[in-house]
Amino acid sequence: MITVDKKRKVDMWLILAVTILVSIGTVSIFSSIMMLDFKERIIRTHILAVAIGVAAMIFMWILDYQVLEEYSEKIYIFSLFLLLLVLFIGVVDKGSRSWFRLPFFSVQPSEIARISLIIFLASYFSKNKNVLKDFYGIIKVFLMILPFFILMMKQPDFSGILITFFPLAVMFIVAGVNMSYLYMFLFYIFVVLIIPMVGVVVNLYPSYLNNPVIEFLYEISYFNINMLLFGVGLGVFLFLLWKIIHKLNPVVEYSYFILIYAIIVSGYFSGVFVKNQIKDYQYKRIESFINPGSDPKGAGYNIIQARVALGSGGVKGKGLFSGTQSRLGFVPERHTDFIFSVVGEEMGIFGVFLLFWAYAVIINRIKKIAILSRTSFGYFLSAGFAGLFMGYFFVNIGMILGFFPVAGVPLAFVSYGGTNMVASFIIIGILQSIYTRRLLIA
Amino acid sequence: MLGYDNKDSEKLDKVYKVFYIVLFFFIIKIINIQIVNHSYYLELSEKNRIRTVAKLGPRGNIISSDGEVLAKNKISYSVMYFPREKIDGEYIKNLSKQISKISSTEYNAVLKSIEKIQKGLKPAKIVDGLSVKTAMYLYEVKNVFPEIEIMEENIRYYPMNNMLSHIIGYTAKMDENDWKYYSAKGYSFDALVGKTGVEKKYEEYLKGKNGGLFMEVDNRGRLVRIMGFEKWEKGNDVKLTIDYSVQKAAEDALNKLPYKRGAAVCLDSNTGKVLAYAVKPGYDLNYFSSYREDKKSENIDEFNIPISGLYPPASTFKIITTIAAVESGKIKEDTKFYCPGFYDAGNRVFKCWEKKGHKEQNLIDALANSCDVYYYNVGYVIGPYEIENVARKFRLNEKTGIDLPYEKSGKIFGPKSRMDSKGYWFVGDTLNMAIGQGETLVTPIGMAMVMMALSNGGIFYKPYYVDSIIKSDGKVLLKNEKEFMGRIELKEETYDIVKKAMRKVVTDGTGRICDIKGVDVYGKTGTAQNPHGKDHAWFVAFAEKEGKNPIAVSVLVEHGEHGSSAAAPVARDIIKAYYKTNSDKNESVNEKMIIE
Repeated sequence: MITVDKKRKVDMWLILAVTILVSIGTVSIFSSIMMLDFKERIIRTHILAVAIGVAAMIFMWILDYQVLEEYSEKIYIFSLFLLLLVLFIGVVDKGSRSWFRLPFFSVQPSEIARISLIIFLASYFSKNKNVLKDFYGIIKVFLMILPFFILMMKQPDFSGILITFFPLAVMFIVAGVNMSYLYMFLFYIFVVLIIPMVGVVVNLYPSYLNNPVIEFLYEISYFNINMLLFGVGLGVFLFLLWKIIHKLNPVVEYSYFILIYAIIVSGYFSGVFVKNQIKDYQYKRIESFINPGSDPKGAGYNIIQARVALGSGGVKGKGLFSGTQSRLGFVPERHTDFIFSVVGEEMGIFGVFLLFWAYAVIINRIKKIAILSRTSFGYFLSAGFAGLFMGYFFVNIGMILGFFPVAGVPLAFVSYGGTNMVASFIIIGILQSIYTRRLLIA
Repeated sequence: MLGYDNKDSEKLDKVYKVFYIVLFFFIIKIINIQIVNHSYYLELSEKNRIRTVAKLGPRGNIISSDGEVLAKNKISYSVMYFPREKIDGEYIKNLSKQISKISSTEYNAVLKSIEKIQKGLKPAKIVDGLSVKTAMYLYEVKNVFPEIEIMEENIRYYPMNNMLSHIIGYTAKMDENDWKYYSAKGYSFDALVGKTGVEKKYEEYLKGKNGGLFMEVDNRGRLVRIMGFEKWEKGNDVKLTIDYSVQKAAEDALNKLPYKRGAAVCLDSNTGKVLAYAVKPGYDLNYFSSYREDKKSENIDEFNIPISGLYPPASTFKIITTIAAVESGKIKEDTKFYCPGFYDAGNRVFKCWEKKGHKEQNLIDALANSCDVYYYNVGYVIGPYEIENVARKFRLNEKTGIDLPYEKSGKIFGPKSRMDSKGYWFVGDTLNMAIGQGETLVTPIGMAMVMMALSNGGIFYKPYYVDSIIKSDGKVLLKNEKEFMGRIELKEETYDIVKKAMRKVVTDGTGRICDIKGVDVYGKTGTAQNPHGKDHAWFVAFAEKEGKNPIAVSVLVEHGEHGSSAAAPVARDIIKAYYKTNSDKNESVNEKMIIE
């Protein structure tokens, strides 16, 4: 091993940003839980989580990240096993069976599994450079990550799935996915979303049923004979359409129509499936995202009160430990998913900008680390982590600012939540490992 | 492998562009929320956390001119319930039992309100209007049930109960219309407001500034801490012109009588100040402030006799006839008529109340003895127009303008009024008119005005009962002054003769019971024939004494039968109370002897 001197071994910016976020988070968590009966437990768990997180970070740092590449498949399979195990021995919290109850705290295996998935994909992409360039390669990758999603679905943990899309998307893009496939995928997602969205819109504004298109979509959104009729009818329609177009222009291949048919029908079937999987409270969240006033005491309450907390903070904030909205419990889930509103209320726009700055620093440094990375594994891995942090930032803060429906996504390093904290520190450890070893030659 | 992927970083750059764009939108939005709309959200958050329990500020006192408190505030206690989570039904039932026992409210009502509060977890009042006596028990209950909070409140209290009910007025909880009006003025919904009388008219002065208990509550409305307490401010005092000693004398005298209804008005002749305004029975003002649904059925006699009651003036009208007689010049002080006990009007015989007859009478004696036959003759001689003119001059058909609702104007019975209603006037009408029978109707306060004008040389002052409004620091906010309404021009001689005659009523005639040593009392009794029952008793008078303003008194006792026995003693007590004299000449006069 040859070390190149005069190069820093530690990414101090990353450490600084993480320190800032954890400090902001800790203060806000402590402030927001002062009224809760079980605050001692939360404080204890939080400190423990940070301690374990720092230890894990140092461990991952010391460990050569390339070891992860070596064991990436085993790590991935092991984490899938954990996800399977949690379905059997896990405990239920807020409707999801996603926790292992341990003596002092609970662990959420999906947080670890998500990292494993990123490691696995980074390793796979670095070994198979052009796998995403052709269709079968994509199918292959898709089948590899499918078990993860199925197991997550089973818990069910939709927020966990949602946040996983971000690192996947970034990694796919960076790994050079054929963009047309990406567009196809987006089209598929679009078709999937249509059916549940129609349900939401009709729930909110029943008069839309007068619109024949909406009525038609609403009619076919249930498991019954209509589904089959629609599938067959669409097939016949596309076949006739192809016939006509083929007559006019014989160059057009039938495979495009088959592809379109496959996407629409599969998207449609998935859409009906998703519609039936979505729980009432999730519908409500989407409804109140569209119209927060529709249920101000119920589903819209969280977001309204979080906004009030944020807005009442103003420029200077109400001061540490003085945020009334959060301290008095007007903002629900204030120490976990809505911690950002506490920051905004108590520290004002300065605190918010500091938090934004720290997040931007982390995400920027990850890019730097990715570019400096010595291996393509390190590059993909960093890109995936960048995507993950962006995901946390977009979804969590976007939710509070009203850009996104309410989803149970934490703000990494700031929210209370042991497993997420430790997982985030592990990511930083891996990133530092990549940074430190950027100049080493094996 | 060094610098391996630099060429590929464009793809990563694209992703980062998206990140920066999103970050930009987030910053715009956060500025919008935290800076642009800060005050809006701050207000919302304050509304979220602060609950105010208004503590009603005490109203100002209403006091008499001699400093007696007629309306004040009494501390009462109310119980608030601060719910907390996990309270079982048994606990609430026990608490309800205790509260219902102490407050003597129905158990079910208490239980229901506590259960409602418990369900919503928001502090609220369960009972109010509890007396000071209950406070001790309440604090004992609080030791066992820490969820309750005992609050001091001011409720209106009228120590004199029925006294001056119409003038003072009462306070009560707001109804829908009141709420519309007062809510805009910052009243809290449980405030008591003046409903009638001074309480209503001077509401804005009397009303105290509410204090408040500011509580910080959590998202379920549960109390977190008491943030602060704002002391209330007492309202301004209203000082009445009423002289408590006179008022008391009038009330007592009326209450001593065996008759159900009656009224006495005493005015200061030189100012129009109402010195006493006694109405029997009146009503207990406290009834309304401690108003509860279950007591609703009680009947209340709100009839304001002195201004709304119309009665035939009867013999008191002979004063008017006397004045008309002298003014006409056709009758002199010593004009004599013989009274055989009846008067033959040709087709009909009119009787004197004294069947035996008064024999020969002059004007002075006739008034003193209230000789009907003499006045038949007078009426016949001077004619009805003369009498009606004088009655109009004395404003018997006009309202006095006293600041009280439902005042009625009297009705003058005379040829002019008869012409207005297109009727015929007969000689018999003239005779009836002369002795105050017939269709003439007057209010007691109207007669008091006549007395006022006679005692001060013909001036009418508008009667008023609010002297001034005084702030707690002694500053006078409002001061009412006497209001000149008009003057009657009569001959000097007329005053002399009328006064002489009225004096004789008291010294030698039907009003002897009113003869008070050291005070010159001039009066006239009256017995108004009442087709619906026993006759109404009148006594009107004015009194003079060196060093004090003259006063005018008017007393009416419904179904009191004889002015001399029912009404005159009330007037005597009023005059005595005003001039602070204890001895009267004719204490031993046998009242039966001097009935009309």
